[in-house]
Amino acid sequence: MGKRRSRLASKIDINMTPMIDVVFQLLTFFMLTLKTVIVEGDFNIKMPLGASAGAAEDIPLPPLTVRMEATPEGGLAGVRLGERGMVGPELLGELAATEAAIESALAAARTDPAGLARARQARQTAIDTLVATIQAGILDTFGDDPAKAEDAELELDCDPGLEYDYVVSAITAASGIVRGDDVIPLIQKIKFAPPR
Amino acid sequence: MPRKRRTAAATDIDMTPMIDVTFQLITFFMFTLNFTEAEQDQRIQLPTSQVAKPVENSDIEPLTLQLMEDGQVIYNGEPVPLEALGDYLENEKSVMIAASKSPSDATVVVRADGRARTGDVQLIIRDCQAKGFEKFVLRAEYKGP
Repeated sequence: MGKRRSRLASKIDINMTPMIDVVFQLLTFFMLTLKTVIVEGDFNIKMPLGASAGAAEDIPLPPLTVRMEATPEGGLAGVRLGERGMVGPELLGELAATEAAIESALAAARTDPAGLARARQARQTAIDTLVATIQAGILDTFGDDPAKAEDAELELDCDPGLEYDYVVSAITAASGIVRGDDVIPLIQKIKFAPPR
Repeated sequence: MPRKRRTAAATDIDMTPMIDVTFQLITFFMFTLNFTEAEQDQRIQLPTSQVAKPVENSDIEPLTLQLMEDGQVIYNGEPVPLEALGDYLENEKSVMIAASKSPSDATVVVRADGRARTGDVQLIIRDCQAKGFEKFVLRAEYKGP
């Protein structure tokens, strides 16, 4: 039996060419359809029209307001949480601190290499101050107990010219504190104030 | 000429390792293939966030509005000026009502460029509210902590 089989195996020569052809076709197809998808995340915002009065009933606390003022270029000129004092240009830095400013600095990087670093630094300072102001204010409001903040509501009151990046930074700061690999959740209900 | 043919017949290339590797590659590309028609547009540079929640898929197809840096909205792949968005939303609303769904159940996904004006985002939300949309989602690029 074994003798017969081994003789057969050595005789029959399978032609691999069509299979390899098909396999390479498949490989090419899957390679070309490969899409690199960036990971995205969501922030839920519930804003029914004209329901602000009704919504106040099931929310025991009045919404915290984050007021953000913009420079003419779209940078952050000041941020204020609730009735606290406005954190203004003295902490945010005097440059425009916008993505657009970084891009123009990037374009001019050949002639002015320090300008790019300055623009990035100004922006980082503005975002760090924004995050620190909001998080310190929220923790202060809820007596350093982040669990209480989850039922609260946050209203964003922004100048229309403000760069949207700052709004997302503010929402990020208000919805959670990142500690290492964990995120301590803060305010989950976020909405926009009526446009100015 | 006959000599050449003889050498071709004699050299017997072992195909097995190559086929192994090729199948590995096919398997890899098959598994990384995703059919989700993610509406990601190269014209939009999303702001990044560390705490954005993972994207949820609901039963009702969400309405995706993408705001470009210059204030135009990409609707169905075409740039549309912000002022004209109301007409398109009216369309969207009547399609939904024809399918006996309410706009208030649908989610509006706002994919706005990080450099866009906040006022434009608010205008989009206001236009959608006027057509009865209530659930909004601001999309950001997730950068893990």
